[in-house]
Amino acid sequence: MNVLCTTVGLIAIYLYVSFVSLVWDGLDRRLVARMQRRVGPPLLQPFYDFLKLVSKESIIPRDSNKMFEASPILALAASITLLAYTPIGFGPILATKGDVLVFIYLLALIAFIRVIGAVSSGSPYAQIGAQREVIMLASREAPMMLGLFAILWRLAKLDVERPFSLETLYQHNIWEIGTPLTIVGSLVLLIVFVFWLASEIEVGYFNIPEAETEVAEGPMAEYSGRHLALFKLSNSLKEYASASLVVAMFFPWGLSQYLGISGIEAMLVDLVFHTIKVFMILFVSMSLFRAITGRLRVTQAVNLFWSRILSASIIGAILLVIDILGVIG
Amino acid sequence: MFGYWDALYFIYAFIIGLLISYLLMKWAEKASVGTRKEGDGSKIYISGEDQDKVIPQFEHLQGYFTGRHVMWGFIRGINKMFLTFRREHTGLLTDYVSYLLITVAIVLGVMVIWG
Repeated sequence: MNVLCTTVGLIAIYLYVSFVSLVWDGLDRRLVARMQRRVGPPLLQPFYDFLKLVSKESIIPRDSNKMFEASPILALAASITLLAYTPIGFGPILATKGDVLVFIYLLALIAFIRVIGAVSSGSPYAQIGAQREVIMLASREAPMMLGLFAILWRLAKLDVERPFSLETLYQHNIWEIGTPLTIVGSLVLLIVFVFWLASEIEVGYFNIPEAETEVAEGPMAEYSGRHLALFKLSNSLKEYASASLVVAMFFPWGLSQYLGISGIEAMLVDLVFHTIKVFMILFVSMSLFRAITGRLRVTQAVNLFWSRILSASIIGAILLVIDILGVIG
Repeated sequence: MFGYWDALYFIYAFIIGLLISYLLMKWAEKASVGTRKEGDGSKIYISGEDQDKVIPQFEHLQGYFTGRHVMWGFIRGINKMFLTFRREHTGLLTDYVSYLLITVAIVLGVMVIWG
């Protein structure tokens, strides 16, 4: 029964998230177009793109190996698995079977599968893109993990059973502690996470691996047709999942407890409300960021992460530690 | 309880994901025009690298993008830190022993202060 529930839930969430995340992609393109005084494509353009790509001929380069064809399937599979560990307005489906480390692992796994697909294509452009992808991954993980673990460790002091479970974020949140130091520390970490999210979905400053005008879509240079379609879908799912983490950490409040409903209805209301919050955080971290910033050089991005964002993360973590130790106030 | 995961459930979820994406791929294969593996357009994207062009006496080189370049941006981006660390690696045993002593002193100091 439990396994059946998990299966049905996972498939339902996959269908819902793939629909919603593609709608967001369309909305994002329209919003950015409006910011640049263009009209922009129709809202459902990502769906048309997906269907068009599926119907086209897939060209496999002569020099590529088996992993080139397998990696789109693996990337989408990893994205769907990620959804089972993603908080979506309520605890993840497999909340008791895996914690936040599995979530981070799967996010990194998707990037690695993209890299494997890129190096298997035999194109220099794809290899440069793959190189940049790995470098960005190595740079963005450190501040993000420090911030995440600092917050979860702070929440663990509130007597929770499983501090690293993503379900904990819905039982306690960082703002309810209410001391000035935690609030300032959390605000600093929120900024860190906005930057991390932008680099995770590779927009604006961090559009380095897929720099279209520079390395011709980087890792995706040789992909076409249905292989590219699967990668695009997997990217959209990853976008939603990583934004969900930020929402669950900083804005976990649900509507159902205020409306006084429970059961399936409450889950649906929370899911929709969560989606709206995800759209809002993606609006800041993706649309606005994409519209107002240009691409950095890879060295500048690495420098930004290791010297500024990591220091911000350390400052946020230290503020939380000082709050626990009770040195001030 | 810090850090836990159930490998069986993970594999189960991954298999569901694999199944969904495989079926999607199969459906897409049926719906598409087809796959092209040879002939026109199956060369890699124009990038200065031509698979058909073999330079005499350089037949052993398969592309000039090698693994050496992989971490270039990373090392270049935090070059100052790398240089600082490299300067500290003097190769003198006395220096390393002094680092060890300083680290032990700091750890002991922290332990004494916090009890």
